[in-house]
Amino acid sequence: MPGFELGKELLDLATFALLTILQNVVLVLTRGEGHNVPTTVGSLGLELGEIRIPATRLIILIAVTAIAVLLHLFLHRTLIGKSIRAVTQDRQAARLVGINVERTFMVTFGIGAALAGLAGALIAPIYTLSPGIGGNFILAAFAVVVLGGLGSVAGAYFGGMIVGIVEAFAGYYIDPELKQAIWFLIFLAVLIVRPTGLFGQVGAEEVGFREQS
Amino acid sequence: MLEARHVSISFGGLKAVDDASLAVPAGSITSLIGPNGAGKSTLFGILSGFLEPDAGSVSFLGQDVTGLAPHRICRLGMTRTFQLAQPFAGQTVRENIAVGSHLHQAQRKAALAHAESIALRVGLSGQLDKPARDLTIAGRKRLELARALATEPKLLLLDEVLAGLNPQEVSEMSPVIRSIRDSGVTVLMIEHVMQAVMNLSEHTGVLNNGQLIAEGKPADVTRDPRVIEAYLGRGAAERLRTSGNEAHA
Amino acid sequence: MSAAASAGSIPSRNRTVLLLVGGLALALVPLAALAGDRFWLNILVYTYLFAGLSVAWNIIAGFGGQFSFGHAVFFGTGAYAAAVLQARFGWNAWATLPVALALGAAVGAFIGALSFRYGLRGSYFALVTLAFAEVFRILANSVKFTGGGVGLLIPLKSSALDFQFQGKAGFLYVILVLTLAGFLLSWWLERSRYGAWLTAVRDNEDSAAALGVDVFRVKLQAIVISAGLMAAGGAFYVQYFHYIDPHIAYGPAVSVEALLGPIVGGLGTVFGPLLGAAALKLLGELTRNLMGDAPGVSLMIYGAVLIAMVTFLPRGIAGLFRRFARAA
Repeated sequence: MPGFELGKELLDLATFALLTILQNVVLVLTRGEGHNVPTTVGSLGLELGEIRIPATRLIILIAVTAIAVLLHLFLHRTLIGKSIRAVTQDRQAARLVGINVERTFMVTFGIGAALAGLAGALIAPIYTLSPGIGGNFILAAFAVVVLGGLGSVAGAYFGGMIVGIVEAFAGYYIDPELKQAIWFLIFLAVLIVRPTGLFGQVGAEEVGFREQS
Repeated sequence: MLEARHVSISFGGLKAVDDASLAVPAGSITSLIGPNGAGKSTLFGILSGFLEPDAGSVSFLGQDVTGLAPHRICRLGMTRTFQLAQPFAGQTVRENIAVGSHLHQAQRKAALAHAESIALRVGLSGQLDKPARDLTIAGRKRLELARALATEPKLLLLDEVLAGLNPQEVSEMSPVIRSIRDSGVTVLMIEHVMQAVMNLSEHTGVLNNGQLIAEGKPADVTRDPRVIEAYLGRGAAERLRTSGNEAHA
Repeated sequence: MSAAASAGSIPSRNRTVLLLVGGLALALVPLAALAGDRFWLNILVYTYLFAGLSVAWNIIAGFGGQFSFGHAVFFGTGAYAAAVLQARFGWNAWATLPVALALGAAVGAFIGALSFRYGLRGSYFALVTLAFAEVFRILANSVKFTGGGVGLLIPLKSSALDFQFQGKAGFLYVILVLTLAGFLLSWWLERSRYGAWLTAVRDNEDSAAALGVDVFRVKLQAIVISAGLMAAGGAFYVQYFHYIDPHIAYGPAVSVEALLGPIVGGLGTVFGPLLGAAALKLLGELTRNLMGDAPGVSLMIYGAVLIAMVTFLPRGIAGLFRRFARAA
């Protein structure tokens, strides 16, 4: 029988490929050495009684909250944002009302990539940088997205909070390495029990075309 | 041969099928008609195992098949087609049909040969080596039919197999369906093409809003005021009667 | 080529070409062995191993349509099974091979049952396999039993009875046999009822189910077979290199190689994985000559190749053959 032509798998593969390329370009360039990012606010912090919250982490909290709110507004109040949601819900219908689906995909992916890059920049002062650093966050990201639910900014935000808090407490009681396994277990459990996550709405492509008769 | 008893299913708040009971006599061509959104394909889904009803039971050849997996039901002798033809796009027509043939043929050569004979019956002989994605609508419909036929079913569930065909194509397909019945296969078909419903089927069920509102001979059923109103709106039956015209549903 | 035998597979003209190429490759085997040239031997062994992994991935992804990004999870399990049994329990190396295969297949059954039972498809399935590979890597890294981050060395022996060969030529024969077995399996798959069912499931699950195909079972069998082959590859790797660690076993390199072969060569075809593996190995050697042996170079190139393939040649090299055949 004839071979199999890549269809919807293209995006997955391309993203995976991009990850591989970038990760290894960095590896080649830095020869695997770690780097640290110096920061001017590194020594500042907020004192709450006995707890001291470093400024770097406060900045992350504020920045992410702002981003989440802005993203939500973007998706619900602007035309581009609504186009993105429309394409998620029904690609054919979106085409019919004149939305350029391919371009919307590009924009969506671009926004996603930009946000990931921003997250990386925010994290830089806290972690030692190495080419493989992305790998530390893969499992966590899966857990957050699946828990929060696809297609929901609130889901990603609160899902991230939940995963972060669980991770912090788990890290106290369990070996840090095995912490990763926790995220994985969350990921798997949610996929099985409630694939749409806490807030998510499943796109039309996942559910499949419903016949009318 | 097939009996659905008090079958119901809901999606969210919508009751798609509401206490429907239908009996399909063996050796017949039975049609299932009704306005769009009436729940006909949903009922098919329940009968063929793709959906599990919230209530009621389905029995096939005396055996309870409610909630059985689709492939099991197929192996028992009931095969369905899909309203939206879903061929194995990258494979040829022959290979597509062969998947059905493989239900009873273990050898590849035998299955491919069987597929060829099925293609002959439905008029696809000329296109056996074409990739399925290159077929026209009519071709795809024939392919749906051929694949299902290849499983050598005792009961064939055809979901709008004539939809999207022009009158010429409809009149070409009708004898094929009749010959299928004549070869011993019972047929249950969802149809909108009334010409086919009247000419082909001996028995008709009418579904509206998930409920079976009439059952009987096609000629009787299409004159039933409830059926007319289901299609044309409330009061339509009365208006048609008083204006002296015969209703053509 | 009679239509009944294998409709849609590579036309006879190209078939002869491929057979020539294949024959040539096989002819190189005894030549390399006789020459005792370590360099070529190494390349051939690696290429055949690469090909074997590609054949394995092709079964579940090319034929089955389920793309896994973490296929290393099976490879690593086989590798560690072989390594642990030898290093810690003193088993004979040959005896570890079937155990490695069985264990890999078992992990395949586990992941498959979990994923398919809950209807995980497409991106979800890919991510789940990637996640599993990551988790296994972490576990192997943390557990003393597997040697932790340091990895495991298997004891150095010198007898064929211990699955180690003085001149390394023996390894070539072994990997040739293993890869050939995988290849023959794919060949059979393309012409069998099971293969028809598997590709039907790949192309449209609902239609397949409506035609009597047990979708869950078919997918599960495919992943078990694929996993077993990967695990055998892993066990072989350990024998050849005498060493395994979590990064090699469960890291992205193996997963990427496994998927790249079929994508470059042609998904869902019998020769595709072999063509792809050979082409990539060639590319790898060229870049090594040009850019040196720095870590990460090969993967970087592979990533670029993947994007290029996905953009310009979604049907792979075998797809090119088909296009020429149709045009001619």
